[in-house]
Amino acid sequence: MSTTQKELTNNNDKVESPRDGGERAGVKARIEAANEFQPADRSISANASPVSKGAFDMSPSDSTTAKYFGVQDKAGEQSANPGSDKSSDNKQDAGDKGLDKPGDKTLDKAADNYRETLIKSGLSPELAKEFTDKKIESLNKKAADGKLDGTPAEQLARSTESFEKILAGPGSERLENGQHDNLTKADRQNIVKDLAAREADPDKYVNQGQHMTCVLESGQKQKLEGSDPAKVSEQIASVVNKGYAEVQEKDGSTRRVNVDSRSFAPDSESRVPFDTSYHGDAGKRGMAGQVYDALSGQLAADLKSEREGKPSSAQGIDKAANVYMAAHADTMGALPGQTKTGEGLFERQPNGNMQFKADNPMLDVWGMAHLNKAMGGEPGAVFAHRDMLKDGHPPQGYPQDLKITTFGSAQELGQSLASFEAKTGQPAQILVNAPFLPGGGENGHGLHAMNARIDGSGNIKFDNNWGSNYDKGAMSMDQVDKATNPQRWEPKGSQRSETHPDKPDQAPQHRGGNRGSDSLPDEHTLIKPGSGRNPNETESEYAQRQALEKQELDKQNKNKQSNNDSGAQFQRALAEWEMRRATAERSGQSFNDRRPSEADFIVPN
Amino acid sequence: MLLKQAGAIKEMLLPPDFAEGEKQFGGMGLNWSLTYQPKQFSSDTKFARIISYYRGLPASQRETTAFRTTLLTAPKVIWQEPSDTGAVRMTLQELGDALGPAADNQLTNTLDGLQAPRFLIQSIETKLLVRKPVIAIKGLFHFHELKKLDEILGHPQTSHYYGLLYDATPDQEQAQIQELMLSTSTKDLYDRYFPAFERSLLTIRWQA
Repeated sequence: MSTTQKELTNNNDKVESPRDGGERAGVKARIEAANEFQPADRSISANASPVSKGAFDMSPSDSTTAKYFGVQDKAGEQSANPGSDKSSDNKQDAGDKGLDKPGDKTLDKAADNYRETLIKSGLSPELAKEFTDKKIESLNKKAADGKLDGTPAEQLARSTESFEKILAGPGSERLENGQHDNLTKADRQNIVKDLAAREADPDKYVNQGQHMTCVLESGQKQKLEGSDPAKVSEQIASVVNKGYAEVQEKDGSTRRVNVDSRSFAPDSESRVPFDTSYHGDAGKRGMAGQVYDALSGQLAADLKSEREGKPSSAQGIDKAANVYMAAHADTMGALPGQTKTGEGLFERQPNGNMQFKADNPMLDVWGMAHLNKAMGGEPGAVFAHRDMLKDGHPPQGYPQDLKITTFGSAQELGQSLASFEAKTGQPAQILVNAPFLPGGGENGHGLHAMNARIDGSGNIKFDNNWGSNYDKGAMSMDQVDKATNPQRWEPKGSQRSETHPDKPDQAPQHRGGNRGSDSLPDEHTLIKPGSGRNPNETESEYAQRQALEKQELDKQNKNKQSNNDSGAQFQRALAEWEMRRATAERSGQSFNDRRPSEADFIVPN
Repeated sequence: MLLKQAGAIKEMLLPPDFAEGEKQFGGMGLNWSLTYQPKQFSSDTKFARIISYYRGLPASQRETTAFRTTLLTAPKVIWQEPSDTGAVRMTLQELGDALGPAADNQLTNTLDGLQAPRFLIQSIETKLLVRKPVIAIKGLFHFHELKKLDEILGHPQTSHYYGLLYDATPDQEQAQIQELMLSTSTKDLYDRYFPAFERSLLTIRWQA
């Protein structure tokens, strides 16, 4: 790494001061092009390590990398000089910030090609025009702000090229890495349509549907709103044709991510032909979302493998110690069911069998930050309340330069969001406790990743991953604080304990804070549906029920041989019924519940 | 034990040997899942679970309309094996995702391979449960390659399902469709606990 880049990279690691706004905008493209991408020694073979510097098995069949190396890609589509993909830098140096000027024929031509490809994918001419116009508007704005890699025309051309590759397919029934191609022509058209929609309007179309992929989708939204949105379409094109994609960190380190191609086959949401109301307003996940989830979910699984010192998918998906399926997890042994999402994270056992671990990517806040870094995200793109983190340092096994932007109040969050967006053009990925969002009922705990940004009026807006209809919109400072601040996460009905008398400066915990599943979420809590005791109970109700359950358990143990305690169970149910009836009578309410009978509680052996 | 304050349910007396199991909140909007189970059948391979569940997002306008229109027919057996499937297919198509994963069944999805349905629907009806209209669905979730009942029964990835779906926000534009279900790993456990589950249902007190 050159001195210049090292300095800049190190500086990037300190992005998060609100006072640090926007000085290095546009620099990162130059870093990559000028410093990192040296012509590769073609004699170098693939490194066994999944991580290498820049030159990791960059096959010339990948057109993006081929351009850097100045070689013809295998389809003979394009030949380019080294660095030609970064011609924007020349423009930026010329002072026009890469902005295509109105009437620019290059942009017009690129827009025509983009629109025609969308029509070829089956979009109506009207929708193709709408998506193209929105895309150009967004690219032009980024370029004007100096936050675009390349020119708008180049971004459009790269996306169009990716769309064409997706539509063309791998050319055989096999992907380049040998896996079966599970996509039909219609599926590929749906990928392009959904991807174009996501590029045009991330807020509306970047949706997770009924899947536990909030981290993956909020990461995708950030990329699409960042300086190089075309990268997303290139990665999707690569993975659906080759079965793998190269993902690159900002310092040029590259990983190959192989994905189980069964993950790409449409599920019940993505098989619905692309529909703006279904995949937009109704918040369902479309084909491009599923494919990107499969890629970034597998990368998250690979990072876990790396941290554990185990093989990743870079050695082949059949060697990976951890495998993520974005859909069809039952093919690896997961149980389908009414409460299941079709996803699965699996761990390879010594005998080679895959063991189901969870129906989500199993990421905590550090895992989320690690994924962001590996995907080439901006340092500090993940935001979390300061009290979520122990000391702000990554746990053992994680890269020690991982950066999470922390804040101690809603006001400070607002400043950090403004600074981050001024610098990157992106919203933040932010961690919230879903039950403490407005309307969440304040029941239990469940960490959830969203996108957040601050508008011109100083309002913080939380963007959910289910279409704009489900967004939280502008929230008050108090609502923001409640959703993000662990000190405010007191389940409804429970009683807040006082600060420990011996440790007056220590944060108070709600009662039962150390009672296993009652613990407040922290930096090691997985971002998924959280556990906790029944949050709808008061403390005394909980204690009462625990005592009853203990009695019941004791009784069951005593009567294990005879299994003859149904009479006692009936008595207890009757007592509960009597208690409820008495309560109703005391309060003057009518009480019509059916009286339990002994026959109700005879469970046949 | 009493199940209390679970969405539209104010309280419900659970079968006596059922205790609290896994509880989940968040991850998909405002979702929750409260599981209750007999301790002796609480493993991943042998289970009998009563689950109070909300998927986390209100149904879309289209699904809400279809769901509420269907609820208005209560009580009515919409379909049960082996009746003709012509009319019910249309109803199920209209309900769409309102039924959750059970919507991906052999009547709505005739695809093969990875995209084959994961649910074998056996009956669907509307009922009045303590005066509240609900849609009741019975069937089996299964590995996608299995088609025949005798193959599905006994397969380790099969689970038996009886679910009740109801509108928790009838006064709002979009329905929060909440669910109460019995899910078991085997038919024996289903037959064993279904009567107790049915009796528990009669003890439900809905929120005012």
